[in-house]
Amino acid sequence: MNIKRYWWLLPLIPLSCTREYVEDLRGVCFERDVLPIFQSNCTQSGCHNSQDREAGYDFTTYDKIVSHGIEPGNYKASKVYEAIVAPFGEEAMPQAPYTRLPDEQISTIALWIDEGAKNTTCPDSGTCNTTDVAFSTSVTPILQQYCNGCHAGSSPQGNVNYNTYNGVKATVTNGKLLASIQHAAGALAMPQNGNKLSTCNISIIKAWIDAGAPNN
Amino acid sequence: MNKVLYILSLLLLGVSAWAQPGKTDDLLSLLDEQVSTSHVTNAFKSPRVINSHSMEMLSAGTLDFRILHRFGDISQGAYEFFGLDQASMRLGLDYGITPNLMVGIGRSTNKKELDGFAKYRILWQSSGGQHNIPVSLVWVSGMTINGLKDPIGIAEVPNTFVRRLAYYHELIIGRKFNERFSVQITPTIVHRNFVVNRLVPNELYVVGFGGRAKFSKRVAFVWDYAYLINRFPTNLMSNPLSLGFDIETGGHVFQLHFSNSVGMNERAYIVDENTNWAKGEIRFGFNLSRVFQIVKQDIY
Repeated sequence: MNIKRYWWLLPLIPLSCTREYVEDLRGVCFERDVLPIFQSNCTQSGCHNSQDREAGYDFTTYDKIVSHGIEPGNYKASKVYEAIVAPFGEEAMPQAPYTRLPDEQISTIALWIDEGAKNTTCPDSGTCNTTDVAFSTSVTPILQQYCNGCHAGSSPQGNVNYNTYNGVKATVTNGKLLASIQHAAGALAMPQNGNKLSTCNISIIKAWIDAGAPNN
Repeated sequence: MNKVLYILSLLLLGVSAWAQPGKTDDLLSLLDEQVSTSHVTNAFKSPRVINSHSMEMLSAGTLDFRILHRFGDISQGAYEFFGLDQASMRLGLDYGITPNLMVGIGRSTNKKELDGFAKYRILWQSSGGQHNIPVSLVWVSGMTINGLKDPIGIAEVPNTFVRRLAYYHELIIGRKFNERFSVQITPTIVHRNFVVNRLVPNELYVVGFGGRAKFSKRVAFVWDYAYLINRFPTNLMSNPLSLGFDIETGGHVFQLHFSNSVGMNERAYIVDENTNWAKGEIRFGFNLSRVFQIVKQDIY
């Protein structure tokens, strides 16, 4: 075999090898990034809210979350982390019929514990962009963070199914989406057990609805 | 200098002179042994088990055109035609340079990823005669390039070329026990140049397990599993597991299988978040392999 014939294989030799990660410049913001995950996925009725306190866990406020099962600075030793990564069994959370949290949300919780599980609030970016509002880039992220813990997945609650655009559109048409997040009289205040959405998030959803709730 | 050469040639002459008598003595028996030593072939039907590389190689001068498909979740039901409405694919070309060296490239829909690899057989399982080797050892090294316009998606982090790259290296230790049964174990390392946060390891250590049970001349049952040792977040149910059938028809090999993995190159099927087998989140997929002999084979 004549080695010279195979010079074109050279590019297969590693060009460059680095070890980098995305640095979290601002740190994890508890109020914006972590609290909604707990409220949306863990505080359903019968679970870890202030009334039921299932197994002694209450995930509705910062003080109650860190009082139990969180070891600041050591996510691997934290019971809460163990439960959300457990593959099966009674310890695995969220329990059926709810499904495992996405990797991204598990990472956020682990990073927050690793940074000391602090009650961080994030500085308001100051601008609220309600001009270029699109379903996929503006509305879906809000729904995912605040609503889909209950209203998506394999068993959406209260006949509100945000797995698809059509499910969202249905609650726009019957007016329930806006009434619930604005805490209007006569409507079920949403998110349940959680804080009201920020003024900015509400105005983004409102701007999208006013534009005809397009699937864009 | 001359002195050194003189001594060297003396030494060599001595060695060859010393080696001569033995050689002539059992020349005949050596011939016998060489005839009876045979390499073990067809441990698997193609150079892949399902997703992972197998201990098989392409023969020299052979081009393998591979068309791979993975579909959506079967559980989506009849409206999505049990996932078949959502196809993702990889087109690949593999080429055997020598009996022990092959290279390949491929392009996947998933992340618009380009991948390339080189595969070298260090040891070839053989039986009979002097060279009785119980296992085949095959080394695979490859790299992948994420081709998305904006793979990172964070305005403050520039998308440099280096950040799109990932590498993988694996050592396949495989044995064909008999005509019907072959297994292999594959220690693997996957390196990503860039990960999403500091808790995610750049190097992922993985052990792959693959095997084949052949139950007729043309059909075999195959399985392919990878255990991820240091994945973050830990997710046992996300480890890629594929079960399927190899069907051989002349120059084609069809591999039909059910799997929880979406990706079709080493980085994608190992690293990316896969669905949960236990919850029935499985998908159908097939590999189609067509082999062309493009360079006339020399006699080795």
